[in-house]
Amino acid sequence: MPSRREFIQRGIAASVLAACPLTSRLALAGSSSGKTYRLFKVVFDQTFAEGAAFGAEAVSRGAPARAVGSNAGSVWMNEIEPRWKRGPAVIAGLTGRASLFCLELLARDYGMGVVYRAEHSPTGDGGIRHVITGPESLSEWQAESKTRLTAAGQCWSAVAARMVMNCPETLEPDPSIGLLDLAQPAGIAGPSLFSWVIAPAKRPGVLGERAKRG
Amino acid sequence: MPQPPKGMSDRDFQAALRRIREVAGSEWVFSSDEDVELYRDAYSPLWGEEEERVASAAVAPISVEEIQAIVRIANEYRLPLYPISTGKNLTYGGSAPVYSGSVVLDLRRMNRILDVSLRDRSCLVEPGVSYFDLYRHLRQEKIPLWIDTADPGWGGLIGNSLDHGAGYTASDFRDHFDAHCGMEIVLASGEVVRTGMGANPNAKTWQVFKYGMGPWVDGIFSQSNYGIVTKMGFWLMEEPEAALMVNVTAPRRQDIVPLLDILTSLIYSHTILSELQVMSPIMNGSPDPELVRLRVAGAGATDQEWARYVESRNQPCWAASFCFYGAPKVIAASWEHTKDRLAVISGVQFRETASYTFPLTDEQVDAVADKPRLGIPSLNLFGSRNSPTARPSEGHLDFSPMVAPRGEELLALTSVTGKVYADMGLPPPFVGGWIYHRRGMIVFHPVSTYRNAEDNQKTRALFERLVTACAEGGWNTYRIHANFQALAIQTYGFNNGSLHRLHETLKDAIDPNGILSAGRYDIWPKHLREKRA
Ligand SMILES: Cc1cc2nc3c(=O)[nH]c(=O)nc-3n(C[C@H](O)[C@H](O)[C@H](O)COP(=O)(O)OP(=O)(O)OC[C@H]3O[C@@H](n4cnc5c(N)ncnc54)[C@H](O)[C@@H]3O)c2cc1C
Repeated sequence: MPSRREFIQRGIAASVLAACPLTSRLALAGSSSGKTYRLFKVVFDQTFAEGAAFGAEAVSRGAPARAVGSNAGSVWMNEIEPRWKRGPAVIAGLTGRASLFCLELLARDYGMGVVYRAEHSPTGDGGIRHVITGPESLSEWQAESKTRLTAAGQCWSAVAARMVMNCPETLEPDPSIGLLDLAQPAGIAGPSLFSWVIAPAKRPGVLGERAKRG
Repeated sequence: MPQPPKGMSDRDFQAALRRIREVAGSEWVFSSDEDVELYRDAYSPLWGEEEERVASAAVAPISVEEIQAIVRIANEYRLPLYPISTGKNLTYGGSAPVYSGSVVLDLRRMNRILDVSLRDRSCLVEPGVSYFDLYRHLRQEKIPLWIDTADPGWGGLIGNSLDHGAGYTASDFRDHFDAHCGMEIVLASGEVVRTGMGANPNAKTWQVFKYGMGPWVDGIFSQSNYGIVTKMGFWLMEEPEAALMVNVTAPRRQDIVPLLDILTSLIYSHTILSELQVMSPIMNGSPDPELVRLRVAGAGATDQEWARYVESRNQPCWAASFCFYGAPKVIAASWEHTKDRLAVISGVQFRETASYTFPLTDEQVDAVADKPRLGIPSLNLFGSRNSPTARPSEGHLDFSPMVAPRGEELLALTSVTGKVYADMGLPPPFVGGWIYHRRGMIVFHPVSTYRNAEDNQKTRALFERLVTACAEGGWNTYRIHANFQALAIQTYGFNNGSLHRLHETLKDAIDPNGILSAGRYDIWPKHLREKRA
């Protein structure tokens, strides 16, 4: 039996999806040419309507997507960490701030880092502001993606799903992107959501296959 | 480039690192800005300020032998080292050293589960073993034993217990240092010591009997800087047949006295074994002007005034939650007995919130709401602040004074801290007590930290006032963020600080060059102590 909250969330998700019937035909962000990251896992917080829509888009495009609710503990323990113990594998998702904070912190142990994170925050007047943080080399892709996210209006999360799935392999984690701040900045009308990609960084981790006894 | 520790020349620092590279392999010595950034305390109340405590480098050895060699080099150069195990000590200092410029001795690569004994219900682990690691191992191997995990499962058995951390299952296991049995330590000299029965090279009872013979020295290696712990044994809980999670509410403010008296009697008589939390839905409600007035008035507010307020909110004043473990028949009898005892509180209400029979399937594990009470590691506490309705939290420090688990004490302490908050123009703090330890109750006050100096300055001022005001009232913190350890130790000042002097005497004897975790819990080596005086 779904709880009342789950029921309401599913309802909202359904309405977001219904409002975005043309997601596949939207002008979508991402590189059409060139190699993109092969994703081991795409996680999404389905307790947000936008998270559910992101997940639906990812699933419809054949991504190994997994609903993780509002915390990443279980997917970390059962899927991501066991995989990373064997070697690096790229993950992506749309989650809340705290889940991403946890995954970023844990990723560093395994020599993985954030390629980019896009913060999607409500503006208070029904709009959404998209801020993408990533490496210098991202700037062109970033500007283009931002335009598409904005143009998608309330269907932005489907665009965000395409973005993570089409993230070019040439974009590497940038060590200058510091750990996500857990504190929500002032002036944001509600909790932000984050779409992101975490991939192998140049700096190796302390844990993982490499770290084992020789 | 990261700065060497104060007073050490860059030449010596680089020479020491070179020697350490020869021992550990250059790929395991981290000394760039980018490397050092990873060891910053993400919740630091000094974030970005000059005094923020930062490492100069890190080294990740793989064996006891490598640690011994590193320690010998550190002695030659008087290079300060800061050992961490899983390094997730957020709220109490993260993986940053207490003394800036220390080289973090990162033990995460040493992460072998050396032994699990089903018959002795125990394990022996290395420092890098996290709660996630051990839990996964027990489930994969279908070993019907439970771990006792701290709330975030990314911490580990050794680091958490050495900082006196605590968890949520039965009383024999929750106080993590209390639940350990046997240690192996590399001393500052490089010598390896095993405590308890482990001192017999043929020991069959290292994880069975704690004391061995002679003085029991294990305690001096917790919340201290006398050695590098390389192995520890822990007792594990036998998986019960079933568990029942329950909730008890009591309507009036003054009910907290009989409520806690009866619950602690049930704890001491071993009817209730689990961790127990009690909070006030009323006092933790949104702070309307009347609530703020009553909270600030403290003892000045009468029971009648509180009764009127509580009635207007249509909520119980107190809610306690705990859990029964055991065979279903035993649980049913314990719960009946608990209800009988609490029935003397007029208006008390009882609710069963969840029940389980073990073992759980993976899907059932995923669905457990209160995972730590069943020894399941998670990151739920972060997630819960991330729900669509909740404001994501900032980083925080835990102000954690220890009180006797009595209603009067909870009210008295929170009225003292309420006044501190009010004097600083802040809304009243959270009112709740956590009974982790066998006889004490922790009254947590989460104090937010930020990534900006102005807000952090206020945080530090608040925190300092809380430490001082509570110590004056007779309540000390049981554990504290590195930034406030010196202040907290001053509050343990009986006989002009004789306990602290003993700590220093031990330091001088065991680590004469002061190479290990300088300043941890305000124990400084002689050469730094004198400069600080
Ligand atoms: C949201 C949240 C909830 C929390 N809930 C809990 C909770 O329920 N219970 C709890 O106890 N804590 C809790 N904490 C606090 C803390 O995060 C945990 O205690 C965590 O387990 C500590 O980190 P760790 O286990 O990685 O230990 P580490 O960081 O590895 O170690 C802690 C300290 O011990 C010393 N040390 C570690 N290893 C060694 C060694 N081998 N030799 C010598 N000295 C060593 C070092 O000084 C180190 O800094 C919570 C924190 C947060 C943010």
